[in-house]
Amino acid sequence: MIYEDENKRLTSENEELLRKYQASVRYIRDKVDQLLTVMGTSPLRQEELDDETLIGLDPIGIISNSFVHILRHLNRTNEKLKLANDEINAIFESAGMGILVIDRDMRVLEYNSMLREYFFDGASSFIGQPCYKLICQHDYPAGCPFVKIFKNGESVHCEEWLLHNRYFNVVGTPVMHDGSEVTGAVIVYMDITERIRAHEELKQSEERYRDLFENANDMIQCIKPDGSFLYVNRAWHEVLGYNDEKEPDLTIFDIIHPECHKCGSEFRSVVFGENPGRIETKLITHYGREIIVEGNISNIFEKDRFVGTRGIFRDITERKRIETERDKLIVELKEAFAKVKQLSGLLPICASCKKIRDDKGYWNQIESYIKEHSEAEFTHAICPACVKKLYPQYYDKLWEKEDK
Amino acid sequence: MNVIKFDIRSQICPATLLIALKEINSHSLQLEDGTVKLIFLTDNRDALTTIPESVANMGYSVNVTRKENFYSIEVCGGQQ
Repeated sequence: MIYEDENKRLTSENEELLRKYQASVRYIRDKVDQLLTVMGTSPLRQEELDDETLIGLDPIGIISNSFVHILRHLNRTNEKLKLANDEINAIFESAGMGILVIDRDMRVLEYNSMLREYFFDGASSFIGQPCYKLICQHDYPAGCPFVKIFKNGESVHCEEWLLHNRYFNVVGTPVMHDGSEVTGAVIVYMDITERIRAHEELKQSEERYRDLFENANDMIQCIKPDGSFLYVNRAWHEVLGYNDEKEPDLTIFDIIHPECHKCGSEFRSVVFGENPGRIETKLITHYGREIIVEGNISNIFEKDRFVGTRGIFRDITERKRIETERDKLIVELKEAFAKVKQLSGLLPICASCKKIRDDKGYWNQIESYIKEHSEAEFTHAICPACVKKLYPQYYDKLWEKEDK
Repeated sequence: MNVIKFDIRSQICPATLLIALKEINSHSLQLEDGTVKLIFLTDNRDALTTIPESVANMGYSVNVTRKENFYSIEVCGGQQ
């Protein structure tokens, strides 16, 4: 009887223990399944691991240890992310351009100090307000080029955008979530006002110089080291008549007069910058006419490298012709003057017979003296008074009636 | 570098993952200092997702290569 009671008690106790064991195994399986699901895998199947193996394998222990590694790795990753975030913030704040971060509704999420200086200077925070109101001062985003970022997920570039009386190059880049959904945009504003103004000034200056260049009366040419022309001005074209399009391979040697080719090295030394300075030479026009030019040659350097010469010339053909004629006239005048001078001064002349005494003391007939010392020639005739005196018989016939 | 190979072919998930995690845990120090590389040979396709993802979350490098009738999952140290 005693044994039966003891047997019943033990059987009951065994059943209770078995129930508790099965409950513990179920608990372990539930927790293991929960942890495995967290790890991203499927729950355990009964046939995969029996209860005994399950206890022996200690999956909770395995996964817990793995979580320790995962948490440690996440902590390291968080530290790196924090450092990266600090670096990005430093770059964000120190960037020499305005940076604006907006959400899908184009509300301001973040902006840097440079953007604040551009558009919000002196104002309080604008976080959460629509950027089209703050920056573009529009009530609606209609017409905003950056709306496209949210439609097609592509970057948008706007060049020379006028905002608040300043010019900007603006680039909008989508912020993608999971590589597909556009959740916001980063818009970078680069102030190019000074560049635009400098460019305008440069353009105006260039136009002024171009005007001077093209309207100069002097011929201006630039020659490369190989003798080809880099550029020439309008006056050069007009005087020489060559055409860039019809004669693209024209060189300085084609237009130099053959006489100047003879002086070869001397000419090259001037034209090719070895001995820049004043030059006078002869050129041949497209129509074969010879012209004489004078001018100055100067060297052109780019980063200390000789790249050619710049020459400014003037057509002096007409001046040379006039000078030649003038010189000839001067010679002629000098000769004439010399002759006139021979008949100048005091001439000793006989008061009676009118003979002139020369430098050697001889008395010469006045006709022969003048003929010898001037270009004058004599043709002899007789005046009425002398006819009356010498040939009165003829005088009466010739002039009597007129006298009466 | 010491290479330790585990042939867990014919095992299915999640047992495959548990075995792999157990070995990775027990060799974590050697994996981190780069003195050991673990190679798991498996023919279970689910393991090609679960093991690399878990290993990557733990901060180790993982490389899966396909062999003739199975896959080789290489785990070594180094932060991803």
